[in-house]
Formats: sequence, structure tokens, C-alpha cells
Amino acid sequence: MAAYLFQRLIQAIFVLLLVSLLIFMGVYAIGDPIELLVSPDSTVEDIERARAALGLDQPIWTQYRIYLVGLLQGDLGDSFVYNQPTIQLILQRLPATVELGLVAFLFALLMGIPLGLVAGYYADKWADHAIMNGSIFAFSLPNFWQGLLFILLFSVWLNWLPAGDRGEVDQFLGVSSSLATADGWRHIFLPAFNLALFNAALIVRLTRSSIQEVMSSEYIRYARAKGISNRRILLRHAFRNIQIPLVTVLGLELGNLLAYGIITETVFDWPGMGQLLINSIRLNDRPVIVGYLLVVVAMFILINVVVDVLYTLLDPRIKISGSKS
Amino acid sequence: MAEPILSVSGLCTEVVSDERVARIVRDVSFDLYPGEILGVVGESGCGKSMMGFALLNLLDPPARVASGSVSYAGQDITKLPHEDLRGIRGNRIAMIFQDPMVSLNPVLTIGEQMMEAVLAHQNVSREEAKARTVEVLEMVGIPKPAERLKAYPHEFSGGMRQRVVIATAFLNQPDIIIADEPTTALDVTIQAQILAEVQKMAAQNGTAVIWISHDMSLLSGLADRVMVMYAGQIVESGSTASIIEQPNHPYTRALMGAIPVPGRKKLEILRGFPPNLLGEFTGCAFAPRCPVARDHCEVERPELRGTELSHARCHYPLQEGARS
Ligand SMILES: Nc1ncnc2c1ncn2[C@@H]1O[C@H](COP(=O)(O)OP(=O)(O)O)[C@@H](O)[C@H]1O
Ligand SMILES: [Mg+2]
Repeated sequence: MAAYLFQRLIQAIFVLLLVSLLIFMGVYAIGDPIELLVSPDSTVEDIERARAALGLDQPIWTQYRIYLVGLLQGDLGDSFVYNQPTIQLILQRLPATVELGLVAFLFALLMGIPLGLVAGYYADKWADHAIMNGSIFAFSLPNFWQGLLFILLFSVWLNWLPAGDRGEVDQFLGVSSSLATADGWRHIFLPAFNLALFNAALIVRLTRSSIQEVMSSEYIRYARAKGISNRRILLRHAFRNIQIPLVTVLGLELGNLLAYGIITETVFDWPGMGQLLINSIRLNDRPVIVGYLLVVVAMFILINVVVDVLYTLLDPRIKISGSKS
Repeated sequence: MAEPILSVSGLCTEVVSDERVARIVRDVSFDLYPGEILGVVGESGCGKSMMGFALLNLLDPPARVASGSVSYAGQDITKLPHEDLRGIRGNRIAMIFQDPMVSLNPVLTIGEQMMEAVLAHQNVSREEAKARTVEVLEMVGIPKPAERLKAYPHEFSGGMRQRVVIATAFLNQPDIIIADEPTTALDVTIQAQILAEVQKMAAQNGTAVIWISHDMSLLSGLADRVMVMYAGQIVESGSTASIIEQPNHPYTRALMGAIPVPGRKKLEILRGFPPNLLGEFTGCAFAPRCPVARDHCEVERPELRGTELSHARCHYPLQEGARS
């Protein structure tokens, strides 16, 4: 296990280096950010001075080398726009995004798995049809439109929940988070629910089809022959077997929820990384774009490692070894 | 004679697919008595396994029991509500599945899968369930059973898994054990040990056993009575001795071609395969492969003839006395 984790760490460093290079080149190709950064009435000299100050007058390889040297020391550079260290900008907004993603993930799990189990167990009965038809709505209606609808319904008409922003924050597990206050929970409920719906529908479908497949296997028939209760057959024998495909997809979903909640963050005016990213792209704030994407890639790598470790816990036939893959 | 513990009457199963109906088990009737070991023999694809499943009402759509009854303790198993059925399965009637490689759940430990069968039916503590589990694993010759409870199926060989499945059937001391080709993956010593164990249970506890096999020589040393199955039908039934010494049905004799008997010349090997069960037969299902068939056999369906305990479904039985 330790050998495996060490190997994954080395891999991760390589992946991050490669990604940093690709993104750096890509962002460079978008164009020179300087025109967006200086005021329109600046003189040519002003512009040249600003360019030199940001290091943009150097050839790209030199720029990348300087960036890389900083990166290896944990420095993501300063934002062109905010004149602050990028890492600081990201860390300010990371907790809001992560808490929204995690709560949405929790909602998706709590809705998706039980409904999927019911739909799969009662395949082609009315409960299944009801759940599957419901999931089509969650799937096919655009996410932002669902979000607006929720705001209209729960905030404007019913006035049950606030429509935007983050609410009160307090210390929670060492970071400032809305999960520490009741007001925070009231604020996070709608955006998290909105973000969760699509993923819940995906989980429902995956759970349903996996359960259907497992329920027709011989060991389920054998469990029935032993006189085991239906409840135990579903929740122990069948569910235990679908956890492996579920974890694979759940890992991907968690990554997506953490990295790409941008639309929901915009609809609900949530002060997370999404807004930061959109602003940075608009102003071509290179260090922030590259830094943000590196953080996202690192999160995905971390989730993948967690998924791999979970596999070994869930499937006794899988053993992790340092030499594999 | 005592009352039968299980009474099967006119049992038919079918598999419906795309408007077509395959009739797999066709009008099977028999009585099973306490302490009796009843062998069911026939080639692969004759519907033996499906009959076994039907006895416990374990068929999944598109397969189903089409007609007939299975009476156990005054109840018809094919019509029992689910909770009553559950109370019988694995408890009063246990089944040993044919393929041990796929019948155990790959992600649960052996111990859990066995203990749950005790806990589902008996109001005992986990410790007692565990003790019973260890006890039956010893009966089937698994070394150091207490240490193996935490193992997963993939850590066991095929033969070991088969023994686990056999031991599981012993757990609740059932009235009836339905064993579907349970010893095919076992070596001879273990097989002998398990057969002895089963015979002991039948004799001491009055457990009745339905032992499904394609191997007549195995049944000859084990069963009290043998039913021969062909194309979903019982084609011959009788005491093991009479079936072996004086088979009436040509199919029975052909099956015994595989048994080496000193002083008897080797009988002809059975050619061809059992018929497709999608269609109906105009005459005898075995006629196309039968060495003694006559024109008449192709046209008229033979009925079962003989006593309730000894009968054959043949127009031209091999024994003079049985010919009508
Ligand atoms: N669930 C099922 N669906 C469709 N056909 C089946 C099913 N189970 C068995 N059969 C068919 O029934 C026939 C008898 O099968 P089986 O009972 O397994 O025979 P045996 O145990 O004697 O080898 C085979 O032709 C098989 O294809
Ligand atoms: Mg079979």
C-alpha cells in the first residue's frame, strides 16, 4: 500500500507538470493579456513598462521556466488583475466551492442510491416507472433553468430559503464554512440541491441497472434458496456487489461537482472558485487560470487515489500493489 | 409405508420467450419418503436442474411453474405466499446448487454466507450460529474450519466451494435436501466422505434426499430409488437394484453403458443429443435415438406403465414381464 501511494505521488507530480505545460501553452495561445489589463488611454511606453513588470516581454520558454521554478516552491505567481498571490485568491474561495460540492454530493447520494435501489428492485413496476420518469426531468431540463425555477419557487413565492450568497460562516474543521451555522445551511440548501439533481439522476440510473444485473445472478438465486429475507438480499448481497461500479462513477461525479459547479455558483451568486475562474478567463489572468486548473487536476488525482483504495476495501479480489499499472 | 414428505404431481415448467414456449419439465410426478435417497439421472439438458428449482419455487421469469403441485407438509409450495416459502427454503428444504463457482457471493465471506442461513431461520446467537457453521464444515472435511470463516470464495478452490455449499445445506437439519450434481468437482475421497455423510443423515435424521446426477454409477451406490429423466419427462422409475439389474427403458440401459460391469459386455454408446424442448413430440421423445424403436414409436406417445413405485414410459420395454 505504501509503495502504491508513493508511486501514485510520483505519477501525480508528472501529471501536474505536464498539465501545467499544456495549460501554459494554451493560455499563451489565447493572446497577450496586456491590452485587457492596462487602461485604454495608456501610452505605448506605459504598456511596455507594464508588460516588462509582468514578465510578458520574455520569450515563452523563459516565462514557463520562471513559472515552473515558482511552482516547484509552491508559488503559483501573482494575479495580473488583483495583484495578489494566486494561491491566496484560490484559497479564499476554495472552501465555498468545496462545501457546495460536498453537500451537493451528499444530496446526490442520499437521493440517488435509495431511489436507484427501489427502481432496480421493482424493475418495470410502477415505482420504477415513476422514479425513471422523474429522473428524465432532472437529466434533460437545463441545470441553470432548474436553478432559476427553484429560486422562483422556494425563495420568491414561498420565501422559505434565501436565493443567493453564502450566509454566515464559522469555523468548521479548521476552515471557515457555512456548514457551521444554521444560516449557512439555509443558504447552501438550494444551490446544493440544484447542483445535486443531475448527478442524483445519474446515480439512480446506474444503481438501477447494476441492481437489475446483479439480481439475476446465480448467487442471488442461491441466497433466496437459503431463505434469506428480501431485504437482506437487496441491501447486503446485491448492494454490496454494486458498490464497486458505483464508487467509480461517484469519484468522477465528486470531481465534477467540485470543479465545475460554475453555472450553479453563478445562478445562486455563490462566492466560489467558479466566479473567480470566469473573471480570470475574461481578463486573461494567466496565473489564476493556470493555478485554478492545477488545483482542479490535483483534486481529481486525489479522488482517483481514494477510489482505488476504496476498491480494495470493497472487493476482496482486488489487491493494490506497487508494481501494478 | 410412511406418509411421503414431499409429493409432486403433474409438475410442468415452461420458459416463455418471444411468443415461443419451451416446455422444460413435462408432467413430473413422484413421492419422496422420509429417509429416502432418490436419484434423478439423465443427460445434460434434460431439465433436471429446472425440476429441482421448481420444487422450491425458485424459477425466475421468463421461466415459471406452469401447472402441477408440490406438496410439503400439507401445503402446495408452488402457491405459497412469499414469507411462508422463505421459512421453508434453506430451513426445511435445502438445495445444493450445481455450480459452486457462481453460487457463492464473491464479496461476502464464507462465514457470513453460512451463518446468515442459520440466523434466517433459527432464533440463536451469532456464537451459536458460528459453532453450527464450524460443525458442518468439519462434516464435509474442510480443515481448520474456524479459521476459514473469514475467507472469501475466491480464496477457495472449486472443490472447497462445493463443500461449502454442501455444508450450508446441512446447517438447519432440513427434512429434504435437493442436491444438484453436487460432487462433480470433488476428488474421489472427498466424494466418498460426503456420500457417507449424506447417507448417515438420511438414516439417522430421516432426511430425504433428491440427488440429481448424470452419473448412474454414482447413484447405484447411493440411491434407494432412481428416476430417469429424458426431455423433461420421467421415462423410468424404480428401485435402484431393479433399474440397474433390469432396466426397462432403452434410455436407461444406454445411460448404464458407461458403468463397467464385470462379466457383461459393453453396451452401445448413446449417440446424438436430447431433443430441443421448444417443440412438441408426436411420439416418444427418445425414438430418434432409440436402438429398438419401431415405426409405432414415432407416432404414438407412450404412457407411464407399471406400479407407482416402478414404471417406465416405453412401448417396447426391455424386460419381457413388463411388456403389455
Ligand atoms: N432460466 C431459463 N431460461 C431459459 N431456458 C432455460 C432456463 N433454465 C434452463 N433452461 C433450458 O432448459 C433445459 C434444461 O436445462 P436444465 O434444467 O439445466 O437441464 P439439466 O440440469 O438436466 O442439465 C435446457 O435446454 C436449458 O437451456
Ligand atoms: Mg443441471
